[in-house]
Amino acid sequence: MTIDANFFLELFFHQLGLWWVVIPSIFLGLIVGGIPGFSAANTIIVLLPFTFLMEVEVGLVFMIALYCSSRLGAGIPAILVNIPGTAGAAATPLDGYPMAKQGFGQRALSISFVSSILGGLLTTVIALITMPWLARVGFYMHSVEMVVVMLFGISLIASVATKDTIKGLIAGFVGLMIGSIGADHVYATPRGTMGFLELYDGVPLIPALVGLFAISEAFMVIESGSFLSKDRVQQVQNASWAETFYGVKLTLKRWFHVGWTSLIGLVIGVIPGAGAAIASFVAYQQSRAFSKTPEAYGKGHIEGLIAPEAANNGVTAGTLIPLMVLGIPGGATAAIMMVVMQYQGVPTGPGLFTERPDLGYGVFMAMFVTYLLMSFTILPMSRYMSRVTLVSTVYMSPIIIAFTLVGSFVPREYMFDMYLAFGFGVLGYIARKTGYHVAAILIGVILGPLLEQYMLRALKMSGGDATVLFSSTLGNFLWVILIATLVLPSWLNKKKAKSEQ
Amino acid sequence: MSEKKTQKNTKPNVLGEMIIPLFGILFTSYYFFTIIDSPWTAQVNAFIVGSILFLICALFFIRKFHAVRVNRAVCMLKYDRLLPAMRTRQTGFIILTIGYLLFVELLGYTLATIIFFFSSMSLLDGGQKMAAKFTLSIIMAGVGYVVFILLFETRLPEGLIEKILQEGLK
Repeated sequence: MTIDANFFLELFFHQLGLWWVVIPSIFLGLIVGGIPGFSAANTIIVLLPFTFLMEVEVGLVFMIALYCSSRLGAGIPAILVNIPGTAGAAATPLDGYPMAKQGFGQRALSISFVSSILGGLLTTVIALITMPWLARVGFYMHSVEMVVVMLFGISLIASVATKDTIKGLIAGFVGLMIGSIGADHVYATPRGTMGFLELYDGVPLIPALVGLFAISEAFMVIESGSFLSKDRVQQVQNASWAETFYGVKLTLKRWFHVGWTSLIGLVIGVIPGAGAAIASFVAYQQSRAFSKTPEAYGKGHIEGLIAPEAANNGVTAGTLIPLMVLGIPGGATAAIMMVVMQYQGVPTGPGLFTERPDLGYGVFMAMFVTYLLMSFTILPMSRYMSRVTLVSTVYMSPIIIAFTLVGSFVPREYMFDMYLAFGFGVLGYIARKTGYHVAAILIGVILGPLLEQYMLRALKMSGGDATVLFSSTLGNFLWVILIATLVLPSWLNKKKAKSEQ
Repeated sequence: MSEKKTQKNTKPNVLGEMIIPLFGILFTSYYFFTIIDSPWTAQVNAFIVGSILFLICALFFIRKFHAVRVNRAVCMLKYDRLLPAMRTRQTGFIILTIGYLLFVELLGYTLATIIFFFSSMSLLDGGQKMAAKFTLSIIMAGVGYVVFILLFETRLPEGLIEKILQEGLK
């Protein structure tokens, strides 16, 4: 079989012919992505028997469409009601929710959809072209380099707390301490577990996410009675299709921003175990660092919404590259896809592209088609979805509490996780009432254990010698970029202010 | 005199801001206690992060203490405002949430959710349109049952309603 333009064109139309699988999967993905605790991975697990019954090609298309749309779906409640559906969307409400509160929910959704779709399309094309080279990124990213990548994300703690840096740092470090709960990675010594066996594996992410964002938000909005002020209600009621198109226009104008932030997602997605949460935090931090208006971030900045959404959709193509090219799954969903492929007798790794190129390249083409179809199916829904913010908190608060508590129960099916989510809810409520940023706590909880894991691995291999963190060329290069992105923007701003004076 | 009084009232009360740092210090101290005899691999990260947290909290307390000393802020528990602040719908809603968590295992997901929806909606808008709220509670809990239990096969706590529905579906 010749791999040329004709082959890709035929593959495209073939995958487009499977629209009857793609479109229902998109809607299913939107639902599971939007409910905290549910994800593409656990939905595919539930529906695994069906995928075994399907033809392998149809099964893969179903899983890909579900995977891509759940990433996009997680951003919808994050923007409208400040509840990220997954950890990958945890950076989305930083600017998405303030936009919705200002009455621009429809515009924010449109920006989120377009940046997700563009990011997804772009990274899929790049993945198709650069697969053999990108697959090697994982080999070069060792524990030392990963420590620096984690620090990129953690440095966001200081950025989100622009109002009061010291309070932001306290919140971030409290999060890092909470994230350290659990058995240590080498000798499995229990640490800070308060005797709860359920915490030996560490603090589960979904209860932390649900509690800090959803439950505390539900308690907060009761005070005001509505998500929006009276004049904003009028604004949302009167919003026309023009708002959606304006959002599309604003995003297309920032095509370069969408491009480079989605590339961050693609590269981080290739690294096994890294994932969408790290990608979106790193992209947000980088976007802010190089912005001309960093002070506007956290208040409803368009680029602050584009960056995490483009990045977490860039991750989808990235996580599939090691699976397809090397036979190593880059994430939970990719691992389940591998199970289905092996069950159907399809090889993964280099053999896939020689024996079944239609499947190897077809997976990425299915991703391309999914994102393309999403632009026609999801984008028009932004107008109606944004009406959620008009629903009275009398109804919304109990619904948020009951459904998100179930979401926190789902991943491990422990009642303890529901209590934990409530505990995080109280912590988040106190933090909000006293001026601490809950996102800073969450960044600590998500990235803390990963940082520890990589740092310990590096130190263990070097026999406890901390200089190992500066021993690799790529690592040192990343250190320089990290320091540059932290120092350069403020230095340039000061220089600019001086020259203006 | 009255101007002075107003000025005193508008000064920020820093007591609330102390809760998160105090929680951080207490939790970190407890964490250190649990790893004191552990191997270095279990200690290194916590000692680095915890020490930085202690340092930042110390700086925060010094700053707040200074603000109180120079009369730019106050640090006091206002008993006269505490009780009215607690007698709100918000407190009632938090208590109902705790009740939901305590009784969901005993009553089962669906029944507990119907009761939680109905009681909290009634509490939040002062008991208007009770029949509509009751119907909405049943519909929403039903949606939860179909999505979470039937479709996604989540093993949520089962009670009387789940058992009846399961028998009916058989």
